[in-house]
Amino acid sequence: MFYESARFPFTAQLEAHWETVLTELQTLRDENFIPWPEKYLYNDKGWETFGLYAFGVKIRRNCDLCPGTTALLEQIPNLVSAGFSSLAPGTHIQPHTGYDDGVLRCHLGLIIPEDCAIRVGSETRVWAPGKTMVFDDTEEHEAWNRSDRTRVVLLLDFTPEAGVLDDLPPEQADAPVSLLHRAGRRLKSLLKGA
Amino acid sequence: MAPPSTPPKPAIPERWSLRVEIDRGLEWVRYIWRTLGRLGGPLDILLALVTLTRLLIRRTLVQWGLAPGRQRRRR
Repeated sequence: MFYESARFPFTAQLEAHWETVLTELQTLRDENFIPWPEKYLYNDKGWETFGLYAFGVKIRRNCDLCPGTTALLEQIPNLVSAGFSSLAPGTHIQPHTGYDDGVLRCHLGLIIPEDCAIRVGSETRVWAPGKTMVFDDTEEHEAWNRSDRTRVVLLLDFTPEAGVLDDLPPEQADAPVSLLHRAGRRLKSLLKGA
Repeated sequence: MAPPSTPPKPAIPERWSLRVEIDRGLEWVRYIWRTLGRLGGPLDILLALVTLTRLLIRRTLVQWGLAPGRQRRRR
């Protein structure tokens, strides 16, 4: 399922400054990118990433190479992970589902050749340079690039405000830490009941 | 902008085996190792390892039904 980008005010900031992000992307070298580890999803080569944040941890050396992009990311409330995602010509990321971490995924289109698209659930969309799309990656999704150029987007995961995830009651849409606390309580009650 | 193209045919999934799972796990180890090298300092690496451990525990608890996860929509 895709969400309206306008529901998330930070997307307007990203779109307004997308050329800053693109300029910094163009200063990176190919060897700065690391192949995504789930290689079985894309036949071993063609999908690479350049991480900036991973689960709230700043990847400092990479952020130093992209100060403008980092400054934009630091304004995003509840940012979890972020980085550049490149998809080489002819690559198809097979249908898969993300982990249930209570986040939404946002893509900011940067280098978008023709004949690239992403399917989430039953809906297929194309990226546009300087435009964001927001979707729930726990739903089955896949992406492909049939062009002869590499597609690159800025990819980021963020925890939305309570109640945004439509199948999640607001009281459950909080941070992983409190999920762990509640899991501990549930484990205790299970043990007491045993 | 051209209308979206249709997805390519899905590939035949690799047959499950312990070896396949170990290889997939090793890919994650390589990826994390390379990412840790870009973090900046020992404190950052320690923080990242703690975060990673917490995340793995949480995902396991969700999978086992001991932590509330979201109901996934399947179509």
